[in-house]
Amino acid sequence: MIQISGLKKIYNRGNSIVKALDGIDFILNDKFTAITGPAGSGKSTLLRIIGGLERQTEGRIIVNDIDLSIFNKEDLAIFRRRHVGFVFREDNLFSGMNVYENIILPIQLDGNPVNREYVEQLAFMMKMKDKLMEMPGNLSGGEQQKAAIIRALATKAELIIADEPTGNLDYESGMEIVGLLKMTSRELHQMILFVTQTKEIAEQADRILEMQDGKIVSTRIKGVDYE
Amino acid sequence: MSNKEVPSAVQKLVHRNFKTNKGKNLLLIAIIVLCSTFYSIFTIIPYNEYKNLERYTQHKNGTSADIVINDLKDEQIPRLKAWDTCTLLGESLFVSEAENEELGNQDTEIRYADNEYAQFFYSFPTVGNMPQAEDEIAIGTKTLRKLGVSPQIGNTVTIVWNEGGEQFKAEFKVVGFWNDDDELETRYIWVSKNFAKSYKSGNTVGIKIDDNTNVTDELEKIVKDFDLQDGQYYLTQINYCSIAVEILLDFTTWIALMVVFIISVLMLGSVQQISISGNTAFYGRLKAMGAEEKQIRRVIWKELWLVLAVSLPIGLIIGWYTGYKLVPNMIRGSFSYVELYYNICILIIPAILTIITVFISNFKKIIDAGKIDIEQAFKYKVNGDNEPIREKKYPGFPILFQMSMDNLSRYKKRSRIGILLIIIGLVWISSFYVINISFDENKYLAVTRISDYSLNSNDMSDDAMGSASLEEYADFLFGHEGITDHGKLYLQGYDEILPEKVSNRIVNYYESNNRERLKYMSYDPVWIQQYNQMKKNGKCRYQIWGIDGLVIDAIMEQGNLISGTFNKDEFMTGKFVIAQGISGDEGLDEEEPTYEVGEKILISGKEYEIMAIADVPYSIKQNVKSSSAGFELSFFLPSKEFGSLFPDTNAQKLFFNIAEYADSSISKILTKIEQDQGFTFTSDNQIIQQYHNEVFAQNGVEMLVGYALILAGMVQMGNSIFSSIINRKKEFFLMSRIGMTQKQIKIMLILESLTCIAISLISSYILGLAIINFFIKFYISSQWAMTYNFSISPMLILTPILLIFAIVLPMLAYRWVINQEMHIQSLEGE
Repeated sequence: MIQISGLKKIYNRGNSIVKALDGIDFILNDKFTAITGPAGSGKSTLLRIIGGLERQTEGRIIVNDIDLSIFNKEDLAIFRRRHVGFVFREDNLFSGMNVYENIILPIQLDGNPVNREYVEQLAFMMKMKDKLMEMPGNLSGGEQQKAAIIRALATKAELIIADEPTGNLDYESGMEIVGLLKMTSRELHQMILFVTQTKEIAEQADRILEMQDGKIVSTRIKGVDYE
Repeated sequence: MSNKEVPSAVQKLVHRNFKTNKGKNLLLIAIIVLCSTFYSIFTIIPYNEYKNLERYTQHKNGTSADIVINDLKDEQIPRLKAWDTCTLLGESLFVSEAENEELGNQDTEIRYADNEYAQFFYSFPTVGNMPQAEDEIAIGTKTLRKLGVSPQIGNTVTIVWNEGGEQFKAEFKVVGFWNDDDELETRYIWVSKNFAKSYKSGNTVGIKIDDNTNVTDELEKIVKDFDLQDGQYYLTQINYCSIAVEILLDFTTWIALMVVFIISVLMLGSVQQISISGNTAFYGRLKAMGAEEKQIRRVIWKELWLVLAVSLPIGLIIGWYTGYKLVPNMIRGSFSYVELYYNICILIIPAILTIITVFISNFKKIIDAGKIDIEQAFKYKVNGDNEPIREKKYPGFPILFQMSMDNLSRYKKRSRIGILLIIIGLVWISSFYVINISFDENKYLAVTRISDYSLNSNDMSDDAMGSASLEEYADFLFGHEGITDHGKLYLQGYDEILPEKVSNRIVNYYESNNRERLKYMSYDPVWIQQYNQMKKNGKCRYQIWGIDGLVIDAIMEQGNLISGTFNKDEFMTGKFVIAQGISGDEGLDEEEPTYEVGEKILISGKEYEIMAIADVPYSIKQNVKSSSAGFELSFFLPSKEFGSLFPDTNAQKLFFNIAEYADSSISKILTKIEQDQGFTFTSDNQIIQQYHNEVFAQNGVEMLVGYALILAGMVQMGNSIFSSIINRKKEFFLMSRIGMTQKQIKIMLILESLTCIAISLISSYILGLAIINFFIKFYISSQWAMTYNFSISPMLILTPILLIFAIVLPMLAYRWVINQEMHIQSLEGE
């Protein structure tokens, strides 16, 4: 569960102020949630704050009963590798490591033993089992995104955050990725929060949050509108 | 708006780049400033060395005139002045030698001279003027002080001289003075023309010949035309070319310049490479918008020349100031005093070198920048696609170590250069350090001195007659408690006609082997003149030395024997002499340029037999001035026998050994004698200090080169670390996203740089130990004043510094990158 109250994020740019988030309040229990909105509406900022990549200016965030505002930078990093998995539009993988090494890296950073069987199982689910020893440069965009998803899942994180994971992919590949995310959220019981600008992809979600000018302007559960 | 009013696109881009690349441009400015500073220093120092050597050689000659002629007829002087190639003529009338007791044995001539002549002989008044009235003189300040008068216009001074066996004395008013130059052997007191004419004074003229004319040929013509006799003239021409060659052959300066060049090229090239890499997307977009390759190159070049225009003058100014500060220390060992020669044109050389360095270091990189592929620029990645499958390189090692090794392998090319420079620098410094500390004072002193102390008269030349006071001090000192051994040294010089076989032997020695030895001596025109005179009429300077006590023992050491045998008892009979030979020719089948063993020699009319030919210890003849520029034959007699030949000649030097307990008291006595009498004494400490002064410049430059190499290596490595961190900005954010803590990232970065430094240090220690224990040891074993003394202190001292550098630098770079990019990254996601 994600609980957000009075969330604000303000950037100072010389003489001007940019309000990236201007008072966000919600409680999220849904497994598969999409955030949409025009460019500059605050979608990615919201994701980064929820994921512990940035700190809010005001407000409170509680993720699965963990209050992020009490953490320092190092604590947030540890929080991320144990509880959050990230998938971005591009540059998800380290070019100096093969796919398998990329996947297990957060587990190794936490000092935990690697369950190779589980990783291979996830790779099989993502149809990536034969790509585990490949270098990222040899993968297509879709395959790279799948590898990033496997990494996010391999840590058994409760929350997967995906910022426009299909942004660089064609329609078919994008739908495939979203389908895989949805499937894994159900089978592995992980909450997935993703940003997209594509309506058809957003419609795959259980809940859709629409943002504008740093605020949530509408909330839709599939087929139902809430303002 | 017309085309002329719109600034060109290139200019706009140059301005944009100059502002955007502030950090890189500041770094470039710093590097170019350093580069031009060092070039300036390594130009100013050799230039001043050349000028000081030129001055020293001129002063050794005594005059800057090309030809000096004595006893011309009055009517010949204007004819000589009008000679085609004569550009300047100075005239003088000789009165006498000054014989004031206070002057001691300083060679001081009383003369009339016109301005040109006074300038020729470095004795033109800098305050006041040349004398006009008969009671006026111009004189050097040191000479004046010796006469007990302070240098002030209007002061009076009494001069004593001899004329036809009669002593004269007169009081003169000082109307002009100058600072006596210590390098000149003869000092002058100028009197008025009228005063000089009232004496039977012979004239002397000095002339300068046109620079485009061969002086030797001109002299031949003058000799013929004016019917000059041998000994009436001499040539003083200096071989400026050989002086310049001597400076140019100083390899230390060339190595230093080469090191500056290499380091600057590496550093400038690295910085430019990083900048171009960082701007790849920008140049790609420019190309996409239609910019040509040459336009892109023009933008980068113009930005670079702008940086150069700012940094070059700064570097030249700093180099000028620093270079002139260093000159006295860097060349002090060679001259009695160092003069600074300012010449702004000398900065043209470092300016040109800097421009060439900047051009060479950037040329290829800027060409490549213009060739950036648009497609590649838009999807610019640090690493390319299609990388091969790699197995884990360090299985079982902690993940951070594995990641750091993996990162290091991506930047190994740049790191290699830094590692190599540090290794070379550390080994270089350690090697030269071992050479420096292997100097063996005892060995050096064993050769360079024959006793613990020597006391020297204040004018040691072969016509100075020694010092009566020194004889008195001999009795006082030699009887003093603590003196364990002693000896005296006498010297008398005079000219003698050599037997033909001896002069032939000398000619054969210098003119065999393609006249190699004679060519070597050609830098000294006075020596050549004396040699030619010997060839012509057999006249040669004899230096007869009287020796006793420990001086005899010092000469008769077996190591000094060249031929014959030493027999002290026979020597003491006074029937034998020892002739000085020239060492270093062992194994060559050549006769020594002197009498042979067993031959008879006439000294002051008395016959002696040559007992042996020997190499004479350096300290015996040290500081003794030769009136024949070193072209003389030396013969050693027991002092008793010497006294019978030259009863009026007193001792020149006293040598004595002391018991350790008496060192302090004897030293105090000698210091007092030095202050009261003007004698000088030489001790072990002074000899050692003189050695260190002479090698100081050489050692200084060698160590400087080593430190420069290490610094360059650190900068190159720092550059490599910095650029690798900058190029991995996105990776760091990815690492942060997946939960790598700041601490883990920093540990990974430190491991990378520590690995580079560790490789440098381990390689340096291994290579250094091998080189020092083999090559340096071998070199030291061939040096007579050295004993191998192993040490790796420089490496040990620099190790913690390099380790700290390896830890601190990546931290600073990472912090800088994170601070720069955090906000940009956060907004880029919108």
